[in-house]
Amino acid sequence: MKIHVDRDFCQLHGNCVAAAPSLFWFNDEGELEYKEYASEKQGALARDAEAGCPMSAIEVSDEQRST
Amino acid sequence: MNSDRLDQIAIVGASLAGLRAAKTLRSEGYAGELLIIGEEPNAPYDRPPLTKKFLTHDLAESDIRLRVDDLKAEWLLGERANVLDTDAQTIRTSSGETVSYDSLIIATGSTARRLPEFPVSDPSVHELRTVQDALSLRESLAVQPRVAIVGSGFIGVELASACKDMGCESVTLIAPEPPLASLGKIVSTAVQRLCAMSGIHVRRNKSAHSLGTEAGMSGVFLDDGTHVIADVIIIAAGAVPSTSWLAQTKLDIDDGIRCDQDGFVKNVSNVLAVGDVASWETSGSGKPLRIEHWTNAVEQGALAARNLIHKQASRTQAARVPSIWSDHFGTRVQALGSPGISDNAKIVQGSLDTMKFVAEHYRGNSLVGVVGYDSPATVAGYRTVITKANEAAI
Repeated sequence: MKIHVDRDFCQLHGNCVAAAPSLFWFNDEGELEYKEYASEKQGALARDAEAGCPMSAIEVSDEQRST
Repeated sequence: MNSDRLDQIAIVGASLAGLRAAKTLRSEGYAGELLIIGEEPNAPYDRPPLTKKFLTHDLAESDIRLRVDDLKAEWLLGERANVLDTDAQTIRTSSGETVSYDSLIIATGSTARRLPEFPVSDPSVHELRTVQDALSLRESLAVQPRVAIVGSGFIGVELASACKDMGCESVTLIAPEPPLASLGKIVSTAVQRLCAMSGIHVRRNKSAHSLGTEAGMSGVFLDDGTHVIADVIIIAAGAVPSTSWLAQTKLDIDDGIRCDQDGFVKNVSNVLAVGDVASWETSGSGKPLRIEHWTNAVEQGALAARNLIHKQASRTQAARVPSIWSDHFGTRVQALGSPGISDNAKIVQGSLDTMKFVAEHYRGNSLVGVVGYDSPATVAGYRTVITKANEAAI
C-alpha cells in the first residue's frame, strides 16, 4: 500500500506517529518522515493513520511498490 | 434473541465518531445492513474549523465536509433518535419510524451547555457547536462588535482568538477558572500572556451573572456586580453529553454513557458508545473516562467497530491516552494525558518567553501529562511513557 502525505496540509499534529509509529515518525529536526510503502500487515495501521489525521493530509492507496 | 446475529447495525450520531465506526465496520468486512441516524440535517462535517477558519475565512459548509463515500449505508439525517428499547432492540425516531438493530453504536456527541441567565433566544447570545451556530455567529461578528465570551476552555479561547482575527472592537473572556485550566497552570499562564499580547481582556476568577444594560450599554453583569460591555455574548461554558434521550433506559448516563474498556455499554446487550458521549473504563484503574476531543472520537469509533466485528478473544484492548490540541493566536498547544490533574509541573524544554516550550506534569512522582507549545515532535515522543502512567493515575 502506498502512503502519501500532502505537505501543504500536514501541520505536524503527530496523530499518525501515534497511530503507526512503524510508518510515521519525527526526525531529529522535528520534521515528519514516513515510509512510502506499507506492507499488507501494516495496512490497518496505515488506514488508522489516514483516518486520524486532523488535516486529512494522508492518503493511503492500494498501489504496490513496483519490483 | 440471538445476540450473535449481525445483519443490521444502527449508528445513532452521524458525525466524526459515528462515521469512523461506519467506515471501520466496512473495512473490517461487515457486509450487512448499516443504518446511520443523525439529528443534524446537514451532510456530516468536521467541527474543529468552526472556531477557526470557518469563522475567520468565510469557509463554506462544503469546505468542512467529512468524507462518507462507499459506506453502502441507509441515511436518516435530520432525524432524532427519540426512544431506545434495548430489550426489543429498536429505536424510534422523531419521524415516528421504528427501526430494529442487531447491534447499535451510539455516537450522539455533546451539546453546548446552556446557562439559564443567558437564553439563546436572545439575539445577542450565541453558542457554538453546530455549523448553524457558526453561520449565525459569523454573521454577528461581521460588524466587528464588542464581544464577551463566557467560559475560557478550548472553545472560549479559540473563539477569543478568532474574534480578534476578525477585528472585533473588543473581546473579553469571562472565566471562573484560569484559561485552558484542563491543560494545567503553565498553559493557563501562556494563554493569559497570549491574550494580553492580543489585547483581549481576561476577567479571571469571575462568573457571568446575567445579561444586562448599564449606562445604556448592553452586555454582561459579573458576579461581583461589574459590567462588561458587549454586543455579542458567546456562551462557551462547556459541553453536555447528549444522553437525555436515554433517560428511560437501563443505561448508566451519569456522565455520558458508561461503557467497559472495549466500548460496550454496561447493563445492556449489543450496544456500544463512542466519542464525546461515551465514558469508557480505563484499563488501569477501571475508572470511567470521558474525553471530549477530536482524536478520541476517531480512535473510539474505529476501536468499537473492530470490537463489534471480532470475536471476544481478538478484541483490542484500548491503551489510550487523551491526545488534545488547540489552535489559537497563531500557535498550537498539544497535550497528552491529563495535565489538569497534576500537582506539580515543570518546563523541560524552551520557555514561556519564546512561547515555544514543553512542560511535564506530575501527580506525585507519576508523569501524568505533557503539554507543548509549538513543539509537536517532542510532545509526540512522550506518548508511550504517558500511556502507562496515565492509566495508573486516573
